[in-house]
Amino acid sequence: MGNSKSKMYILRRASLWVTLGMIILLLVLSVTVSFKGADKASKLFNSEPLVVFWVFLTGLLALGIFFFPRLLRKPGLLSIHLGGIVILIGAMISSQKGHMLQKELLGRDKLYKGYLYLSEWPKEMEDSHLWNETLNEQVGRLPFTLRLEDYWMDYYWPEGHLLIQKYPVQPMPDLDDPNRTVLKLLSKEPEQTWLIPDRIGEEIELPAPLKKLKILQVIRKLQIRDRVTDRPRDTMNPALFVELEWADGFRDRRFVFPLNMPHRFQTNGFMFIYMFVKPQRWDVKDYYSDISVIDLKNRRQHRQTIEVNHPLHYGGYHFYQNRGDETEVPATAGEQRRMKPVGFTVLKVVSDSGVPVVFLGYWLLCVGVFWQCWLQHIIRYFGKRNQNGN
Amino acid sequence: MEIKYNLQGYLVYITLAAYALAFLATIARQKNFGRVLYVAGFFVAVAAFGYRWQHVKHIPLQNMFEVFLCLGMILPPISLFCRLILHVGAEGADMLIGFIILFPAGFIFHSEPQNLPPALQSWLFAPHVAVYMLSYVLMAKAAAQAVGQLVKSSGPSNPELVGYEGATYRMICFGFPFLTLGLISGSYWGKYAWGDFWGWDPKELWSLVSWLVYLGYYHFRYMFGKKHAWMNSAIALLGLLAIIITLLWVNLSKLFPGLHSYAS
Repeated sequence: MGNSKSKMYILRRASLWVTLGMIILLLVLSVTVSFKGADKASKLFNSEPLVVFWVFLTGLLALGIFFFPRLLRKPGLLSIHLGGIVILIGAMISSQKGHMLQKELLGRDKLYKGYLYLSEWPKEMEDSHLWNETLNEQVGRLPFTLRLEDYWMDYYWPEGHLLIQKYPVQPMPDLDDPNRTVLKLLSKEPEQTWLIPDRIGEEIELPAPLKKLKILQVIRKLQIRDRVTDRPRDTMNPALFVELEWADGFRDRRFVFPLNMPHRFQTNGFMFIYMFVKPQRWDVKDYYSDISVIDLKNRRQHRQTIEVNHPLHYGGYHFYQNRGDETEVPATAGEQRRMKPVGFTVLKVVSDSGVPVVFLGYWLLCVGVFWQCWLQHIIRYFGKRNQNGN
Repeated sequence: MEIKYNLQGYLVYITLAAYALAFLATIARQKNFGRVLYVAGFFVAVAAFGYRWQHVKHIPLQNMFEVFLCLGMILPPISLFCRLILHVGAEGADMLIGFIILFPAGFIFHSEPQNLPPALQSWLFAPHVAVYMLSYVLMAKAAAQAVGQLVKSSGPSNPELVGYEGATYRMICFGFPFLTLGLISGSYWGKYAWGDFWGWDPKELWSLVSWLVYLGYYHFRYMFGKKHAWMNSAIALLGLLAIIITLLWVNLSKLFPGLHSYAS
């Protein structure tokens, strides 16, 4: 009995030493490889010797639970160790080698990772081919196709102001039409100036004959064809859409443009200018890909706009916004003179195998750490206080 | 060296002066006056942080200036909590740490506002960085206690406070859940932003190194903690060194190119 106890003691000590050794080895490898960049680090930690290391570490954590019955009595420590095991198993399932193993053992033919190139042109073009990161080698095909409906980028827009200036004017008869009068500027210097930020809903009181002005819309890229649109794709054409109220109750809605635009809005000696300074550098706020997924079996469609931090999850894969841009193509077939911009996008496609397992491991680890480090002490503290009658 | 001649800079400099004077008052045995200055410094730091938030129009945790401003701001309430609830002292050391942390925010890091890149526009941005900030301050406090253990084994003079080794352990126990949450939230966020739980980026590797050092601390303390108590403290100091490298060297040095370069 005593012999088996001492054997157990030796095994425990040995397993703790090995655990410390594994932690130190992982530390040394992480420090060393951090100087070589993410690609080399990824290759090293996914290499065959390191696969052995990960499997051994998982086994060691499992053995720890067996060797140390204390772990079973301490829910926090048990949860931490189980969390570690589950995370490592989940990571193995979601790895490239895990996918290869699943194919061999279970016949599950699922792609591990790839990049999907989609273009708005030609219209209605669908694709399911996955490529490597540089898009020069095909790595597989998805069991469904995707189509890019629209692609655009949103930029950080600089803050602008609406400038209103009142000039001294005098009504003069119109020489061409004596029944009408025109307002003639008496000075080049405005006698009064107002400035309001370009925010929807901003209002300002104005002197007679005007009464009030309200900003209804802040338009970044105004386009007036068959209807007014604010297309993010098209070249910059900022404008404010405002509602102007006269002292007699008459209301009018007008566009106000920057100073360099040919259309200037002025009335009754008031001049309205959209003060907008084009920034030297445009910072991208987000990239958007409006995607349709077409199921080949039943032609059912799923449509979603993918952006950074908002991937699409469909058919066992996650689709991430990776990169994209615009290019120019002939506006009509065969004609090379008139060009139109079309967007293209590259989506990173990653298999979702193992993801719920990793998340479960995260929960176990977090709950265990909080229980072990905080909650058990808080519960013990309040338990003691209750016992003391406080 | 960059002196900031604007309201943002002046608020940082007032906080720096308050922390420095608080430290000097404390070592001159004027503890109460030191505390008043420390608390006053905290309120100015809150004003600096609030002003920054209003100026950049997002929670200011994006670049080194903002991160160090946040670290300097959260230190006084943590000191108070640790003294009253955990019975861990060394307020004087905290004041000095506060000054050291805020110094680069005042004189080294640039404070030009930056737009948030697409990857940082996530609900996880604020909690991920905030839990790391909390853990870093707590681990710095643990390291201060560890230094006490290594240079002066007699323990703090106030009998209400825990001894240095015990205080180091308490601080690490308090900070480790935040460190774990930071690591896990980063991995979860990475999965949703870039498609990978773990990108083997230098910043990720060094944050793993920091976490592993404290994991090693727990295992070592369990195995040999009583026999080699000084070694526990040495590991706690190693942990802080790993944190400093994660926070500073990885971001500022060109040796480590990676996905986290926006934090530079």
